[in-house]
Amino acid sequence: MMNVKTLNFCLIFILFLFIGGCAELQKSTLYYDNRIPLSRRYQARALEYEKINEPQLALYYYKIAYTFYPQNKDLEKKLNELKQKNLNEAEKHFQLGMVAYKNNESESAKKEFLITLRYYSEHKEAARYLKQLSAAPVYSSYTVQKEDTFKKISQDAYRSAKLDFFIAEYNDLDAKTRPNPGQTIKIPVVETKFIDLEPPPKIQIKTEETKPKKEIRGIDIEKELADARNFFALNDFANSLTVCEKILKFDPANTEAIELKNLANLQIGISLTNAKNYFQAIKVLNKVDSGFPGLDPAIANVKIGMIQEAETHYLTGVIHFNNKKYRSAILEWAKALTYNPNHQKAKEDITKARKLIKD
Amino acid sequence: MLSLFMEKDGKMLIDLKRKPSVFTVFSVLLLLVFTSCATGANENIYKAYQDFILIKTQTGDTLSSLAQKHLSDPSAGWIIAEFNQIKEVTPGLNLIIPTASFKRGGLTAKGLQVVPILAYNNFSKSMGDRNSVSEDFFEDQMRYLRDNGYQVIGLDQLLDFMEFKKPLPEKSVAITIDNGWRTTYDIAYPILKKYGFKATLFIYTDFIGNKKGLEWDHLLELSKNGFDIQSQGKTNRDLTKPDKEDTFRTYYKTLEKELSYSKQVLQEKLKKECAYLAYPYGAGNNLTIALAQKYGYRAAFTTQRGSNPFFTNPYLINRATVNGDDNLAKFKGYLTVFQNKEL
Repeated sequence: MMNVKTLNFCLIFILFLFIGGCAELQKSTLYYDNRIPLSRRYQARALEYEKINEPQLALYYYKIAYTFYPQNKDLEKKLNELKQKNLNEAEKHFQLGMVAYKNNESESAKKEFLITLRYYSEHKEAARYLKQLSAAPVYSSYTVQKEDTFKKISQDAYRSAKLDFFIAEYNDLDAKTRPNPGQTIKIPVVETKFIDLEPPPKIQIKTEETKPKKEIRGIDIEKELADARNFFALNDFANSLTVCEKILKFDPANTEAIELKNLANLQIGISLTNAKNYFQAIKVLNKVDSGFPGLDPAIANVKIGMIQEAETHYLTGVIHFNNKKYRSAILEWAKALTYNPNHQKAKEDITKARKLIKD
Repeated sequence: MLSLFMEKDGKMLIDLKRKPSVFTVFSVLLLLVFTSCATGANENIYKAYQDFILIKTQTGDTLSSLAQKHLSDPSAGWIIAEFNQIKEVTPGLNLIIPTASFKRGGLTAKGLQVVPILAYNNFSKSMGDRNSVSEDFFEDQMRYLRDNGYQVIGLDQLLDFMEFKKPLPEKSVAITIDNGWRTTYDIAYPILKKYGFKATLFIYTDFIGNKKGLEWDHLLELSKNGFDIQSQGKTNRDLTKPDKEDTFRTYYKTLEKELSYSKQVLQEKLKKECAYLAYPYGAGNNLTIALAQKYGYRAAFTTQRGSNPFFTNPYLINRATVNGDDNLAKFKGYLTVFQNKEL
């Protein structure tokens, strides 16, 4: 049996032990005791990284230093300044990268996108473009139209209706049915030499003739073609194109050089479309021979992209208009018209906005 | 807690209807105090912030155990070491564990990290030829990697790096062995085990059970011991070259079989995901890439020489083939881990 007084005493004693003991444990943690020296230590490390131009590591250590000592206003200011500086530098280099990208200067573009990521590793667009520069798309996306069948899509894409089954199977669809209008499907890029594959005729005439090495006025066509093929395989389309053009100067009828040239231009065009650089894309795609496999869907994609871009600018213009920023609205609508000269609403609204400015 | 008060047969240990004795109350409360304080002492996190965790190390902590506990990845111990400028963990250290992105892509002002991937084919006990590396030479190479601080990584780690998700140790290298020769088990495996390295085996499934090829039992053992078993197709034919008799349809059907069958068989037998493909003869093209993507391969490997920056096309990853007639100087040349570039 225990009387109430003794029980209370025990409880209070134990509670005291509990609170005292755990508080002592907490007190001993460096967070409470050492936070200012810790803050200084990490601030010093941040400075070291700043000196050797490692902006993200510097920012990381400043963040740690600030976390330990949030009352330090100088530190707070430094942290915010560096954060802003990193963002500004990242954006500046991203824009430089975009200019280089649009001009097909892939090495410069890569470098600028890498610098962007060095200042701000969360820059998703820089990472995306960087990947795009290294990995050309192996298929294009196509939105199925009302009148489409797999045979028709195959004919348009590959100049052969025979690959209907391939397009259907690649998209896990049945070639015997019609694709659904509005559905987006993938059309893989296939080299013509595979599309036109035919088994050789059963009877072959044996010939002793060996193919002479094709050499025209000092240029080794086979070697140049091998270079062009290698560049293409490495996704270096610009260099592949340069070599093909060199070959075609000497041997304008060289079918493989023509094929590679078309393929390279097609790939560059697709990349530019993906980068929303539609005007440049059209310019490059126009260099591809009419009817070349994959050209029509590629051009269709540019057109769809331009219409979407026009719509985006039109809607931005509407927002400006509603905010009574008529000049900005006109600028956006004018941009919409560059992408889609038939945008009737943009034309009408420009007139409306101009009238309101005059009034 | 209820169990504290119950005996096995369900009889109450403490009769709650009766007033408790001083001894009982004191004991229970003392137990509570010890439990709570013991919990506090074992919990070595001081504070978890948005971008990092602050901890105090305890007896038994290692870089790997801390990485497993706080970063869910035992191989990420190097991050803790590098961030805190330490080589090993001793009890009582105050450490910062970075939980936000840290050195992704290996980008610095002077350049960027690149990852070499070694590709082996066959091995031989004595003198090697071009296609087979001798046992002694292979051991020399593995010793060189260990003595010079190279970290052998797996392909999942490589792909996390390439997808700009996670960083890698500065001197990272991956080891791959093609085809599935029996010598992989007899010669390479014991040496790799000796040096604590793991490798990825790219197997063409028709070779499994062949007189000179690996058996399923070997593959199961290797897989169980942390080796990665991945696909090199079904028959080891060059995927970029159609047969003379092929039409597009037959060529496509062959490619489909090569890529989907091998993946399916390996997954079924080894009960692990097969996510990587090595192109037979190291050659891939647009069509093989498109199909590799369709069949769910995360990446594919060529034998184009060169180390890989993070933005390498994941379906055309470079590997350096190590030949039996190479020497150590040439081998060192395959291990480039940094590309100078003013950034």
